[in-house]
Amino acid sequence: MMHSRKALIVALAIPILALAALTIYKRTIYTFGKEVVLPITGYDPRDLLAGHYLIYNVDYGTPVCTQEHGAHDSADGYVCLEPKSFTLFHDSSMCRLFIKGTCKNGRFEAGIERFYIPQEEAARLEKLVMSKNASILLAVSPQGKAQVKDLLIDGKSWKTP
Amino acid sequence: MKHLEKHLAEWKSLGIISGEQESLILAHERSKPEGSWILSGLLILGVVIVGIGVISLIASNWSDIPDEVKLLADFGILGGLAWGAITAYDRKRPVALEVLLVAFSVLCLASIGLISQIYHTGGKLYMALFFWIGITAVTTLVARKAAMPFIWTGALLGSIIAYGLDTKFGGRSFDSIPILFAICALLVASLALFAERLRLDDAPKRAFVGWTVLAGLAALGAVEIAGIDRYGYDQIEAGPWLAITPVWILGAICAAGFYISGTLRSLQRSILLVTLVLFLLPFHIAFLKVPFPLGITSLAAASAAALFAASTQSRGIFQFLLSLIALRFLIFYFQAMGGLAMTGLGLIVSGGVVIGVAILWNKYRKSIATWAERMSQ
Repeated sequence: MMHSRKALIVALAIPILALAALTIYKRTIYTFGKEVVLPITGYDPRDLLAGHYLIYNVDYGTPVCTQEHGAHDSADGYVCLEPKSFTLFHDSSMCRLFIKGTCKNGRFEAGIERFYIPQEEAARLEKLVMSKNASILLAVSPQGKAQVKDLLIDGKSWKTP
Repeated sequence: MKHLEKHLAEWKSLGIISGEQESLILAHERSKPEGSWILSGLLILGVVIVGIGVISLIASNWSDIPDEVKLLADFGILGGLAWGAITAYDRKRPVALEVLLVAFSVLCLASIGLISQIYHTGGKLYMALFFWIGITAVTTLVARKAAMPFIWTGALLGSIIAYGLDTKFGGRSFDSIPILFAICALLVASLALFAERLRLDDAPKRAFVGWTVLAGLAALGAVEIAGIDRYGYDQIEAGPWLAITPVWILGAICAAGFYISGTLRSLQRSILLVTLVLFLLPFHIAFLKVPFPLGITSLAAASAAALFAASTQSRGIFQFLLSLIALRFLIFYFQAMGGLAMTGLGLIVSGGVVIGVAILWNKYRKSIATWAERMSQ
């Protein structure tokens, strides 16, 4: 019929274990990462895979991926949050809390430029992000991996009535 | 089955088989558990549509349901499908097993979407697809029908093209599309050769060969439409050398694969090598910016591929290629001649050529088939 029962079990176990590992990795950063709030500005396109989300520009409080930094496309970059600075090489003695990302078309991409929102809330949230002080609550791991925890409007969670 | 019954009745009337043998053959064929390919095909299609529905439900992002509940439900369904697949294997129900494998794989993709949504992960769609391709590679290899490997290979090629267009390789124009298609065709041809060498099941091999033909024809069509011989690869941001290098590497892997394959005869190897050279030619014409009608190289490459398909008894691929060659001939005459009268004359001539080829084919097909069969022995 096919290879063997063992091969089938392995073939089914690999995806489940990989997805579980991905979930645990994300959950670990979410739970143990240091919380940071950064201001944003943005708009709402549509994702074929995961529905509505906001895409925004994160204000790191310092210029990022500029020619003065010697940044080129696909170059790794590090935003130091305490004190605020941007470098292409990370020095842990100079900066303990940092976000690691990549320069692309003059933009710093760290995988935090997206916030998924319910379809029925998309229009309302887009207006709020445009008109009020919007920011994102992040969890940052010691390795510089950042993850979005919440969207804040005027300092409060978007879910707050 | 109807086709077999017709043949058996004909053989019986000619005295080739007896009535008893006819009954035995029919009874044997009817007792096979996988009698209905229509049933399994429809079930797999249904599962894929349900899977898309699940992805859509996840996309609607129900904020009222806690994230933990969503994740638990997702992993619960994944586990249930995996258990169902193992049960189907134990009970020797191959159609149910294939359907459950496809459902499991589609739900894996939906799960990636769900995890991205819950943890607000950035990144492109092709990154999620690459991850899915990686984790479901072994699941694809245990599939016995071509549906799952076909979906998996299609996702792989789509992701490569999306990645190419999103990175420096693509550049700002679409001039990189022909070379991306060529890379896809050569990559999947290499996979087909590896599958042959590793003696994998027929399902992944059939999917790889099918995608090689589709991606190869798409590459030849794209290079002709782009008319890239006039522009070279100057519009590709990575530059001409970086654009052509993957083609050389994969072309060399394919050529080596022809020679390490344990099943190909020497004449078949030669035909494949000629096909490869003819396939690569238009991309080098573009690289060297030589003014040359790319249609001729496309026709020659497709003809060589059709010859190889005939030698391996791949009737479907052979007929598909033959139809496209005939169509390309018509377009060739359209391109070659100007004015209504000349176009009309061109169509009459090309139609005549096609009819002539068909008559000659019909007259000599037995000797061609015998010759082709000899190549495969």
